[in-house]
Amino acid sequence: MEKQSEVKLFGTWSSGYCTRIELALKLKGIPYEYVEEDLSNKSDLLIHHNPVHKKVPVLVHNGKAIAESLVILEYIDEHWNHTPKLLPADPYERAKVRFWANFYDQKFGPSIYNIITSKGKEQEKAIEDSREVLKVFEEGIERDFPAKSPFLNGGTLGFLDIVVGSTACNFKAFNEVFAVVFDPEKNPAFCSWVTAMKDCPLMKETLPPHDRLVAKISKFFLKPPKA
Amino acid sequence: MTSSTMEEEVKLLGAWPSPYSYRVLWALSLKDIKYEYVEEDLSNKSDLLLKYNPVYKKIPVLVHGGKPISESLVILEYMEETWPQNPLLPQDPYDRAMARFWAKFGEDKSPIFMAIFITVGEEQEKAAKEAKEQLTILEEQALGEKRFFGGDKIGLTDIVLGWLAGWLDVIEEAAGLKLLEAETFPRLHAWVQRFKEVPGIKEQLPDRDEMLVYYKQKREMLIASVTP
Repeated sequence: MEKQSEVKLFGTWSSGYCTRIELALKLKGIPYEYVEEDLSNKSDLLIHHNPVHKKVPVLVHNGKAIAESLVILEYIDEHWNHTPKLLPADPYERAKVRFWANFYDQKFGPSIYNIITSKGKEQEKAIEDSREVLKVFEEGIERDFPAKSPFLNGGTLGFLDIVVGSTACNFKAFNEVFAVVFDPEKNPAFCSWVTAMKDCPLMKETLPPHDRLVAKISKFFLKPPKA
Repeated sequence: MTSSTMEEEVKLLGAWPSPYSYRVLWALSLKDIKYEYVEEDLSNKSDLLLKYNPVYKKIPVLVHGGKPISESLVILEYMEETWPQNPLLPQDPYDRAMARFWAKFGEDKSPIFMAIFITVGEEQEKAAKEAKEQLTILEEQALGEKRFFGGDKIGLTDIVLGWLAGWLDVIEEAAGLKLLEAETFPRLHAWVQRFKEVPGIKEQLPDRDEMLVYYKQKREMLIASVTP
């Protein structure tokens, strides 16, 4: 029988999508119970709470489950609508945040995945493509959120900071295992924003430990060459 | 730059018969918002479109008081916040989360439905099987016993899935197979009829005969390009 904990988060420690939710809950000061899932052996409870996708993260609040990280973030901001707010107040500003959050997940995310799952010439092309996408993203952010510092939400992390930072702040691990995509010389604005996020206490305590992450993604994605 | 007021000029850049374009047309209609419509020729995109949507260069784009918003789901949320009359989302945060979840599901699964249109033979059969699985999920989990995905009246999810009501049967006919059979999907089938009768939607559905010509032509071109 599942204990009726008020807020429960099902996640995996290495998933940036789950980091997003932890960041939001912590920012808002919402106590929660965290349940680590083994994705190679999903719990009955996870499947019960997310029968459609069977994925993490899933937020369960008073027994009611919500899946999909961006949907969960909107829920958190709406239900616990005290400060700090994740989304800006103005509808046009909110539209810009949502636009770029979706771009990051639909364009940049997959471009990174293509790097991870390819080798040789194919991977070189994937890296080039990813850099192109990052350039569009960086220029767009500068155009749409001018003079916002150190985070796009100002002094505290906001929706888009969380969406991007939860994965981009692990760039050192990515650069080490796969390839250098996050290059401060090629994308100075993006990298200085990500570095500012990486250095903030909340991010430091929530991100997965570097060495553990490197070990995991090396093992998971890099297959040893055939003999 | 902050939002425009409700009264400022609204312009929609769209293209017939894009279901994405119609999502915004429906929302404008349901909320009774005055707007200027600009039909874009997607084979020859206007400077205006390229200026207003430099990232994707796609329609629909809503321009409010000179400020552009792209991506239909982002546009719908913006419209909901700017013109709260005849709301598309419920009040309760959990119900709103469910509406957004299913809207996203509809969006994420649309390539599966596109696949039946752009494939032939065995590939098409496989795509059809996958598409029916998504319809089953929509029938049983998203819609259930409700009149609309939004409950008693239509909402965001109905609008995002509206292409199932206005386009799917044309695409089925052009592609030569049937997915949404009434016997297999009685609730979805009933929803389709109901959706098409909603005031605001009824008057804004593309002409079926014109659509059939359009999609049949597209299908012929696609087949010609994949057949050796």
